[in-house]
Amino acid sequence: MMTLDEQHAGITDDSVLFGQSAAFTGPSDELGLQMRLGVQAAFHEQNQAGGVHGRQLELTTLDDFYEPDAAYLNTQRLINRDGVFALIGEVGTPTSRSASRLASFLGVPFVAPFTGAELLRDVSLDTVMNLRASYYQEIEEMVERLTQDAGVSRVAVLYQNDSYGQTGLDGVRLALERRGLSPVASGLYQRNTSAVKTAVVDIVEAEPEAVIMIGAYAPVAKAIRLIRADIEPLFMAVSFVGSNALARELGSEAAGIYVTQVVPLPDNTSVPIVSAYHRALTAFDGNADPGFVSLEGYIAGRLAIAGLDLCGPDLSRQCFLDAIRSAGSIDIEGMTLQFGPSDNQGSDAVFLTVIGSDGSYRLVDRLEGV
Amino acid sequence: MRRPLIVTAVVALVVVIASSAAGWRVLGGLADHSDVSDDSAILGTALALSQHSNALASVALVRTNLTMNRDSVLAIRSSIAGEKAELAALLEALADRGYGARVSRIEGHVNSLISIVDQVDSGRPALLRSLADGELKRRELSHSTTRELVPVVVKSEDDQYYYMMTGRSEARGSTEGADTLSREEFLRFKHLSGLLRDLGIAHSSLVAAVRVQDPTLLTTLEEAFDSAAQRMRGSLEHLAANGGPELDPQVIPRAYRLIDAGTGAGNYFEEVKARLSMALREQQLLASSDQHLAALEAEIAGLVEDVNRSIVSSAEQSEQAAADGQTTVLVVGIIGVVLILVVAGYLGSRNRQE
Repeated sequence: MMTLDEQHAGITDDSVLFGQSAAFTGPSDELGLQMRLGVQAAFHEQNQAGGVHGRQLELTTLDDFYEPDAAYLNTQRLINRDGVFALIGEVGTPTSRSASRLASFLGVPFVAPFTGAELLRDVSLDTVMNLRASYYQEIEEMVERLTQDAGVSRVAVLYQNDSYGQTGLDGVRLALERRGLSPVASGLYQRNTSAVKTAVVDIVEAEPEAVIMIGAYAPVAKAIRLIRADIEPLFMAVSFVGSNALARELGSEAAGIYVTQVVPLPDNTSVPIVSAYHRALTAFDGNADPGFVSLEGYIAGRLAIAGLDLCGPDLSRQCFLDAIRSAGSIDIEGMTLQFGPSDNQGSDAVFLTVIGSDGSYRLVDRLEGV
Repeated sequence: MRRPLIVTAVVALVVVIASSAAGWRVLGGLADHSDVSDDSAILGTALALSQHSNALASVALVRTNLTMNRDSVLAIRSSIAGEKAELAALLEALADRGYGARVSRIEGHVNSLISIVDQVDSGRPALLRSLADGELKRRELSHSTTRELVPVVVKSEDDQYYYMMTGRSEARGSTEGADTLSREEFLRFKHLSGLLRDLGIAHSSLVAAVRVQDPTLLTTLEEAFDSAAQRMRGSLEHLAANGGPELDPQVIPRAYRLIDAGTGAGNYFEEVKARLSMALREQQLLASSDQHLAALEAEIAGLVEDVNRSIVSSAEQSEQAAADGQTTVLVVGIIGVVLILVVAGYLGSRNRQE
């Protein structure tokens, strides 16, 4: 049970303080930096319009290097030392796993972590508000397309050796099992390294038709290059890979790689939420390039703003959480998020995209050229 | 005529004196009731003593931990000073109120408790500093191991394995005709794999040691570290001589840094031992304070019983005194009346004879 003071932590008459722990250095820094950029763009846009019920939105951040130990300590500091109202945009599964439990225990809202792990869909974590579709949903879409469009039956998995990779591997196993299949090989690599060669040897030996990749952009890019030295399977990665960074890492070699997304294409300004995101991003940082991760960060920021708005001027942590849960549906520039008492995930949308020869992403309904 | 008058006056005087004496006795007995109100004050003091002793213990006699900081230690110190002043005043109020032996024992326990509080309080800053240093070192060690050492060892092992399995190597360039599965290559892989496994053990042992509370467990962890470090040294010696092109040059210096953290001068284990002895001393003081608190509570309960007994006894004595007084007054009154009647009768018969 939270005390009255804890309920109102981070709130003053003219401000609300949010906290974010994410990787801002190291091999996955792009994810943390872009997520922060999106949240900041949303907050800046709202602050320019007068804030929420007269309160300006502030964000304080700490680097966790994508390590769960550091994420836990950061979360402790953000809550106990900095007195944040809520946490937003945590990046990664192992990091969110440790941080969300602490946040939930202390009754602190944990908004829109950048992970689709099932363990964060557990409604007993009653302060967690997920924005995006789960990895299981992304992987189901991949396996459906692989088996339906390309008749693939030999699927291998490259995964990160932690709870993120394990969730992905479980998702692949379950999706294949539903179709009477199982992975022909699986290879793992150590988080925060690009040591994928041992995994590559195992995968190449199995001669898969497709490789599903549950990793971060740098090791995934390296694995794709190494595997292509011997075989030419279809490559598919989940959204967490960091789509834009993956395309940059691979350059022209990125063409034909499929990535499932949980937000619309960030350059498709005909979609209202994307158009709003562009306006906000330009206003916040004219030099920033649009991307999937910062778009997700922007929508995360907008979800937090919607919660603050719904709660009204008498803001408290519980009111914020209740407002989102009981809202039925929350419309953010045409993007509908639905929460409920037994549903802490706002969106179920999964978009299949493919990287073109110019490194840009295209939406596709089915696999091409197979 | 003059003599009978004198006799009558003397008799009347005797009756008045006797009645006064009886009244004095009754009042004296009733005056004992004022002792009851004194006893009530002692009861109040005893209860306050119990409350403040417990308050002192709950604020001051807690295990030093990392949630404490300079401000909270100062706040504790200030509360200690307040409670000590209260206790001193209460002990003073209790002195010279009777119950000498009991009060003296209470005073002894309170003073022992205060002495323990002072010892815990004076040892706390050093223990807290040591705990904070240990935690800082633990974080630095975790950071340097997981972010600096593990990645280079993993990469070296991964590259070595890949070379052995595929004959491809970024570091070697052309590998045409090379025996990728030679004994030499196999030994490199074996030592890199062993190094990776052992550095995990060494790191876990050190990290666990920082938080350990049990000296026996510390010995087990130190043993685990030493044997892992020993194997690491063997692997590092081999790799220093025969590392091969796949070996990242940072592996050896960074791995030795980890070994030094657990074996060199002023190593982790020595620091943890020093901290544990401080923590153990604190634990002993806390345990001893529990005993004094329990004994103090028992003495205060005993004092309360004594005082209650005294109150009951005083009430009984007062009742008895009142009854005695009434009887005395009655007897003296009867005697007085009889004497007066006798004197009056005597005077009457004398008058008739005259």
